[in-house]
Amino acid sequence: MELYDRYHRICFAVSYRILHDATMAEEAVQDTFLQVWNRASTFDRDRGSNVRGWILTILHHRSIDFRRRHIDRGPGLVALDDVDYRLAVPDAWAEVSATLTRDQVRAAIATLPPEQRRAIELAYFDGMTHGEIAAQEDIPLGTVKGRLRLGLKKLSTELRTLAAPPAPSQPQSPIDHTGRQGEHVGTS
Amino acid sequence: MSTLEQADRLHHRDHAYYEELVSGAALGILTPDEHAELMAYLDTERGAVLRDDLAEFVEVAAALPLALDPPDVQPSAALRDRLQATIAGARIDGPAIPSAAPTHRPGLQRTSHPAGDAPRSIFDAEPQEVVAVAPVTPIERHPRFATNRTLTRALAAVLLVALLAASAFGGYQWAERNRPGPDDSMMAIALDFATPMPSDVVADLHYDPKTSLLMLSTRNMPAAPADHVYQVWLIGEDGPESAGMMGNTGFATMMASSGYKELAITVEPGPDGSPAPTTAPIVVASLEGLPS
Repeated sequence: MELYDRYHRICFAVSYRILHDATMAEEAVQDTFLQVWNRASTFDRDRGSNVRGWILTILHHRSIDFRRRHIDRGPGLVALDDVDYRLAVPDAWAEVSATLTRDQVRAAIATLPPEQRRAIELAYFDGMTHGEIAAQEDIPLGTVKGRLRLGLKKLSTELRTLAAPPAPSQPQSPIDHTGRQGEHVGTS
Repeated sequence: MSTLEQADRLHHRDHAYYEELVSGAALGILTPDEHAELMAYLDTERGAVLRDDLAEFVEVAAALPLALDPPDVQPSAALRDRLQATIAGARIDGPAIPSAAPTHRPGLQRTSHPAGDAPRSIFDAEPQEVVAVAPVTPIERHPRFATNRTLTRALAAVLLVALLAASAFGGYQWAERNRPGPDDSMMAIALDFATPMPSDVVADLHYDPKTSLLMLSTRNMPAAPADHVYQVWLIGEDGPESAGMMGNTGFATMMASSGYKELAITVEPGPDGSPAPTTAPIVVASLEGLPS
């Protein structure tokens, strides 16, 4: 239950944003953590995957699935299952993904052109397919796909930049032979 | 030439096509067909280069929730208890997922409740009034109509058995006389099973142009996996349309139009099936050329 205590609020926030119903959101959260419980043995932390991202990926799929089946009455979509998610996380992301903060993610999203941000929002939080986004926004299918790809690529670059540890700074004052900062040691 | 390369050439898919699907996969918005195509392509030598892209985009997508503001609604404390009980093996009944879709779009009714209260679902039924029923006063039997209860019950049992036997036999005869069987107008349609069935499985598909009735009768068909059903699809220009779930001995449907090209049966989550096929067909049959 440690995972639940740590992540249930963000899971509920995502699910509620997608489903707009607290009861359905709770059901999605419950299903997610049951799935996490059942699949715990399949999660490989050594491959660099982060737990929060794994849980949120499962939760996202459950919520979109609920929405499309019970609210939108549209065809079901397919999410990456556990096997797919155990793709080797790129080295650049191994340190980044688990430590991202809300401010960093918001700052990265703010750098996106509005049309890319809109496309990603419609896809991720409304579970719309490429075709549905194209129809709603009255844009070609290829444009939708391009905006999603470019948007995710830009977010990736921005997030890695924002989350990268700061470069070591120059010392403000000389350090004397005793190792103490701030004292000027003359050699006169 | 590999099967996938043949498929590529057939469907004119190039690397760019799959590259464009990667972001959709990470965002969880691919249709079943798109997903299957992309996963198959990722397993190829050419497609393997996209695996890093997919992994990267999955991480980006998983970060998106961090941008959300906390909602004005909080999860109930009971949720943790339900989850803990379920994991521990006990089951606590919680609010069930509604089986029927609401008639309004989400967002028109936003539930709001003080923290700690159980959220009220928009699908909660209104409480029913319980109507008290007056107790029944026993009727005193007139001595003239007193009967030997034991004999009466025995005779009633014999009569009941006789009636049931006669009914079953008569019903059987009626069913036999009225079984829709092949006649000159009925058209037999070949079934193509994706995998060989046990030798004792019998499956016949017929179409009656006089009634536009499509009938599939089966015997010894293996049961669908637990919590799943066999769902029947009629596939036309607009894609697959659900024609319902298959029963233990078959299926029948009125074909409203002659525009269907194919019948297919898939295994879907039960008991309500799926809005669209989510698995590969186990049986297909061509419906092209059937008279309207």
